[in-house]
Amino acid sequence: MKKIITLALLASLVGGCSSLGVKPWERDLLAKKQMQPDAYPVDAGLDDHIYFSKEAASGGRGFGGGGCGCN
Amino acid sequence: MTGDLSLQRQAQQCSGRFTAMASSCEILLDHEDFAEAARQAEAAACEAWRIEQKFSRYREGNMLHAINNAGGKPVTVDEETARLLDFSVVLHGVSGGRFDITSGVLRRAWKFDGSDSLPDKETVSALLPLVGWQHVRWENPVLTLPAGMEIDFGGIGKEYAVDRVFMLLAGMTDAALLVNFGGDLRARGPRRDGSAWQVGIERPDAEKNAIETVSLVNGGLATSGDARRFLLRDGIRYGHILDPETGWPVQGGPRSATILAPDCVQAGMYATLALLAGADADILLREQAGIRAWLVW
Amino acid sequence: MQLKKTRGLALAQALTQASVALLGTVAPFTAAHAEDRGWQVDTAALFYQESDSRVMAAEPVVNMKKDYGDEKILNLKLVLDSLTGASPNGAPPANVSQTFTGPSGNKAYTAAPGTLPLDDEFKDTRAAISAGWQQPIAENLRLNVGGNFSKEYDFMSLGLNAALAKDINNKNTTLSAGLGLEFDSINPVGGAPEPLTALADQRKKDSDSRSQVDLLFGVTQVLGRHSLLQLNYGLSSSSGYHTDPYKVLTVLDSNNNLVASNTPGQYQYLFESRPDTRLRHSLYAGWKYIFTEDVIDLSLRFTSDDWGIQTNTLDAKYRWAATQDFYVEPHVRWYTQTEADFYRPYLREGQDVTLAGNAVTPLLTEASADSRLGAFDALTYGIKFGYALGRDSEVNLRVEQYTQTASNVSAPATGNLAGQEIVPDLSAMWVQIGYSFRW
Repeated sequence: MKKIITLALLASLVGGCSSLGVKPWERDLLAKKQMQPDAYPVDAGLDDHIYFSKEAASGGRGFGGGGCGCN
Repeated sequence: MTGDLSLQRQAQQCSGRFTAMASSCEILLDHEDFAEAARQAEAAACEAWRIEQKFSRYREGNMLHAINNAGGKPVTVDEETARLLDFSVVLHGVSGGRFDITSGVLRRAWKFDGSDSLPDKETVSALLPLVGWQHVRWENPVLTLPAGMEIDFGGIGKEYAVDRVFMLLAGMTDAALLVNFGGDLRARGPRRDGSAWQVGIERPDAEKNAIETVSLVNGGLATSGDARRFLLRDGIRYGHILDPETGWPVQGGPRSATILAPDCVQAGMYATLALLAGADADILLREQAGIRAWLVW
Repeated sequence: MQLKKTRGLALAQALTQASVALLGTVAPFTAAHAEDRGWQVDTAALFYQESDSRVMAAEPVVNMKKDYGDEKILNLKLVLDSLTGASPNGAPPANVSQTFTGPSGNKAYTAAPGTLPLDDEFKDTRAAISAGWQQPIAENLRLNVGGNFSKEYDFMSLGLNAALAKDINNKNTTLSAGLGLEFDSINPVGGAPEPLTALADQRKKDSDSRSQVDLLFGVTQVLGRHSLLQLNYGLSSSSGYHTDPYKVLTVLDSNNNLVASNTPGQYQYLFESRPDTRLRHSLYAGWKYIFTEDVIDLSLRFTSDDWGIQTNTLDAKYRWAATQDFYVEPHVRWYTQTEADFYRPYLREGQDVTLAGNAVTPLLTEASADSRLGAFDALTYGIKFGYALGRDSEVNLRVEQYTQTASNVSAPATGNLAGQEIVPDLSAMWVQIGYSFRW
């Protein structure tokens, strides 16, 4: 419960900080491939599938690519 | 031909800065050889200043002055001026006559200082007989302007200079480079680390001066229509792009157009045509698959 | 003189020619995207192996992405999954030999004393495809729609998803909301057993189904030139058949001994049963920080559901750019989960069931001995090597080692299960070889 409150606070802080951020010409580092959320979709998909079949939790990061009969 | 040229070396690139054509000019070179960069920046600045001097309205004794003060007599122009004149002819044709390098005299009536002082109709009408490419005789290499008429390459000069400087530098080095004259630019890439040039496009409309970032690998960018040069009276905005047929600003068009195209000259041309097209600017640009456009209405 | 304005292709040609005449060359033009047109293809093959002759899998994947310009992107993915091996059937090891009837009803298999019973009637190939389309629908607003389909011998899944993403604050903040729907059809080998009925009785029905709705809300915030933070909240509600049709629970009498069943030579086991509905919350936070080339990637995830399971995950990666073309990325993941309310490693007379001769009457409506629903800690550590072959192409190798250790499960002090490791550790390793290129 405490963890949920902490994260929710973080989320509201982030939403309210419209002064946080960079100018468009400062996005050089953020534009690099290794900073993109979907840089290696294959790795993420394969691991998600393994953990889905061995553990009770799944997802959290985005929408998956389908179910399987293993859970 | 002199001026101030400053050189810098930053992480992984060299840059040169100078002022030309009333703009801050910069050359970005994706290499770290400072001595080479000095040579390249100097060559770039010299070429920019050369073009500026040759076609400046404010100098005496240059090619432009000779043309504009010939008093109706034929003038033999050099090869470079001839190419620019041929180019202007094409633009005049494709724009349905709205792009006209003889329309410069109208600035005697119009002062675009953001105020509400519109000229009176008589002043403008008096100048109209001096406007119109149809009165000019151009038979390469001889140009005959009727007395009192003037030509001015202001609409294409800067983009031409960008592309000329770009080509000059492209012949001097294999490195990725970017030539930027106050927002009209041309780039070659990608850079050594594989990334593209990050170019910021100003959007002086909604959202507190939002700037959009575009990744450019190869190509040219030009903006036409300055949000600062206008008149405002009774809620109607008079941009500084004048219709040579009426002498008055083109209405209903975008206030500014920024275009990404294969080179800066083409980018500049599409930008100018967009503003001249008035309300049709959108359609005109959407038909062009090879370019990207940002319009501010 | 009224000249006619030139438009369209004629205009483009006129201007290109005019430009060439003025400048003297034809310029190479690369569209204003760092990516070229064409497909970005990521392929990989995964090889997965569990310890103790359990599951082995080989999984080739192809992911293809094409940028049509103007932020319109198509994504296609195909996964093939070939599984062989044996999976625990829910019964713990005993100090006697245990025999079970296989799912198809005719084959029987035996677990030696002290070994974990594994159902080895288990060769399955699965194929899954998914497609997604992204495009802007307004200024700073993107829509993502997608679908997925997967099929294996006893299971079929069909899903649709849609999400909206809005950029604000000069694209420093992105808000997103998404909806997913999934429909699964389960057609078990030998039929779906009646819940909590005896394995020996083999009371089956044909097939069953399940549906799921997912909601996802997220915020991504640029913190500075070097880092960004992502926060997601997810809600997932599923209803229908959640039970694993192949899993059973051991029945122990009041002396903690196995009980005889109607089938001679076989003890009494009951098919498991899970609730018809499941509601899950998840909270995810991810942080990425880039130095110049090296990147730290940290994420935390908490989940909680109405089955009583709570999980915590901490995932950390460090990408070390050893040279311009070569990187090494070590990885570690800590995971812990609590057990489901209805998790029972075995059923006990008096608490969970009553016995009368060979008849077992369950006192519960839901029970499962699936160790995936039990309490455990898991640790993954791994490393990835990547080598860039060109601007958009790379070859990589990734190895991960996973260990799952059950907590809280103790064997009874007396009887057939005494001294046994009720839920043995699960250990698995996987190797992924990948090749990405532009096509």
